[in-house]
Amino acid sequence: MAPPPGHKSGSSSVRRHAPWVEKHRPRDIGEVAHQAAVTAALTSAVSGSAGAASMPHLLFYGPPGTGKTTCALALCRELFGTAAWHSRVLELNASDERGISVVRNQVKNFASQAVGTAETHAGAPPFKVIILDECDAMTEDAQHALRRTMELFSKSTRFVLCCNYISRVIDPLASRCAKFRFEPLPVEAMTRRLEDIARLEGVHTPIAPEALEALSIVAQGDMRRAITTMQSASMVCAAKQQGVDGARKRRREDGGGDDDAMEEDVVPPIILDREVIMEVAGRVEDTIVAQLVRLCAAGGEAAKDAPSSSLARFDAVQTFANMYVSSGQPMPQLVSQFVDALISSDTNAPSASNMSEIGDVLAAIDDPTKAKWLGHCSVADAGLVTGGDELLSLLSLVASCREDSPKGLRTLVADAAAAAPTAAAS
Amino acid sequence: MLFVDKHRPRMFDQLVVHADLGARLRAIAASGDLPHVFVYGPSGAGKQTLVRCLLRELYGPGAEKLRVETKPWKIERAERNVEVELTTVSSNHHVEVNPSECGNQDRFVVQEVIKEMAKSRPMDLSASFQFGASAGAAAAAAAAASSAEASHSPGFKVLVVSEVDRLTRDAQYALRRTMEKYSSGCRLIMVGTSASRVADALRSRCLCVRVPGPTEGEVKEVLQHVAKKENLGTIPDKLATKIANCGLPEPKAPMLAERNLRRALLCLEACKAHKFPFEEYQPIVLPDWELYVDEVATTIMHEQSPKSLLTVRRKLYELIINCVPPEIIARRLCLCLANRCRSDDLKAKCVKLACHYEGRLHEGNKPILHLEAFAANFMSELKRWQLAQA
Repeated sequence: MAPPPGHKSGSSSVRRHAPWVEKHRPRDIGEVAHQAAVTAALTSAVSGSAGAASMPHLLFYGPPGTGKTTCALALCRELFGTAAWHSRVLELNASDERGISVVRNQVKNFASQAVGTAETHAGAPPFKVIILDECDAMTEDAQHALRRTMELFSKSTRFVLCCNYISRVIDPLASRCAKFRFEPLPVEAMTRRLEDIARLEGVHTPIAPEALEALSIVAQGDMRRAITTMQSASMVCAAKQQGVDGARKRRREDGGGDDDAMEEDVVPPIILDREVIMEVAGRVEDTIVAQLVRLCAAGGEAAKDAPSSSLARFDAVQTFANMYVSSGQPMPQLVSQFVDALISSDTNAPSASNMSEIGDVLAAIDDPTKAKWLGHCSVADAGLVTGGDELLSLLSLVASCREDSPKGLRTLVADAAAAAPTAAAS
Repeated sequence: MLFVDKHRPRMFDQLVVHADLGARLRAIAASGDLPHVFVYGPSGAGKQTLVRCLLRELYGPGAEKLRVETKPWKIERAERNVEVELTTVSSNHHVEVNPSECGNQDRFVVQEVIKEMAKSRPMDLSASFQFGASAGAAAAAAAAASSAEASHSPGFKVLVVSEVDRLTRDAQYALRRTMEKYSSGCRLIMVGTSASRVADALRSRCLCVRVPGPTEGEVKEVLQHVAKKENLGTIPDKLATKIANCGLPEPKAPMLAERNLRRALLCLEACKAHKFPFEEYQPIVLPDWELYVDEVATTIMHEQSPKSLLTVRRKLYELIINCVPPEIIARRLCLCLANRCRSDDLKAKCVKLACHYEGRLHEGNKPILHLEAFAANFMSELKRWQLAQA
């Protein structure tokens, strides 16, 4: 493990914002969080009785941030150590050019080289490794070209393919590899890892439970997102904490440099704040999603059921949409959280968002209605992907949902709205 | 000089709106280093202003000596050589580019410009002298003067990429790679209106800063602030409200009010030219195209017939010829129509139609067809509704 990166020096004038994800990437297979089945299999492949020489081609698949690349890199490190790394490992990821020409030239050249015996370290297996990260982003042609290369040079070269969607890797490639599925990380495993990193980076530990909850909501099993969110949030939180006394300190530095040596060692640990985490992760506030659900439920005929309800009028929709769009928050995020709210109300699963406030409304929506609403969400999302206007799609989404809301629900919402002043005003 | 430029806050201290965001950015900059930053929010919310302030905070007044260059980039690729022309705004410490103006070739621009920047890292003291020497004695003196600044300036340059949301997918992925590769000597500040059009992979590598649009109160505050600086006295409250809401009577048109500081300040200047000293009920000069779209909406509401459709078509054509982007026409037209609908059902139909045809605008390549289809469909819905009422 890397030495604890300068928490102590964190207060010195320059503090490098190296991404924590890179800094704290596990270096041994054993350190990879949660993927026990995979790591056990890999460890035995590396140090098993047959020796590393029997290692097959590998295909790692699973959602982002579950440790695929990390495992591939750690595996290579264990096989070759750092000394032989350059001559034995070729890593290509999607940001490099990876059309068919690259497979034909770069990959083939590297694969076809024989493994030199002179530099073979004690115990280093007699092959090279090519890591193709994000290989589902390769073109189909390139994948086909790879097929033959894999077989031809399998004596001297092993491939490690990583991808999110195994369905996008062509069958002939997949069937040549031993496949390993990586699972989304459960909250406990993630928490442990986050606590470790927090300790090294000068974030206050233990992390407050609400902050942890927020991180796990944001991450949804994606470790990388959890860590990057934590880093951004800690930057903002630190800025908030030091915002006031930072200025004071600077002034003091101008005056006389003597006292800061003393002062610098007592940097308070950064306390993570739930709100900040949600904000930097770009999550939409739950009250806004709740308001959207209410608006959708208060269908067009509610005006007749409960003419006094402020939600029944289309003006309320317009105001809401205008407010949301001018706040600059991305529309797909709202759609996806809306979908989350609809689905989680059904399954009683650990809900992704805190929707207790409108629990009764959500519970009262029957399944056919939900299905229709989800359909409208998909239309809205598709429109946004092709570049549709955010305001218009939001309006249209709500308008479509309102048409499909059942009558009983409308009155329910009307009552609820009449009882409690809505959040629309805020 | 326009009010907008003249009174644009240049330092975090001068911010009137988003002072909290400013303070936060300032504290991050004060730590001596900066992560990649992505600033997003609706137009006229103050994104550029925040970025300028941030640059100024990082590099001192040196960051305000800007020069504009248009220079052709020759990019050699394995397949072919690409030539693009790109305008950059730069100081000694940063470069601002808008790669989306190169259309499909933005990917090369992103890669090349950043590479170019990363190659030359004149951020330390000696290098800034070197630069001065090459640019002439006067610049050398300036460099010497700012050497005090340079001595504690951070060891990286900043590349400001505007309109990232309009970059192609390819360019965004290329950016992602370059961000990692050259991050030691170069930080990116990306600015865009719509966060959803920026790839997740990019966003996750940045500190995302959301700049929400200003509230009515905030716009008014800025207006009064500028008026005071310009010795215009205080603006009557009714007039300020009207300017803040784009000249529309507030309660009747909640949708049309797009709060936009730039627009509000330009409007204030127009008002001043029109009539000064200000009066409470002074009319506000609206952009021609908005009035024209409004006229189209009136035509549609007034008569639903093939003849009227022809008129509408002519007007829409005229708008397009005058380079009003079709998406904006569609959106504005929809809002104008929805505002005139007397029934909520009709409003719902209107926005659904608008969304449908606006979406098609992006897929097809003849905007007039989709705009006209929207107008025609809305006419028929309106007619149907009217008949049902009767």
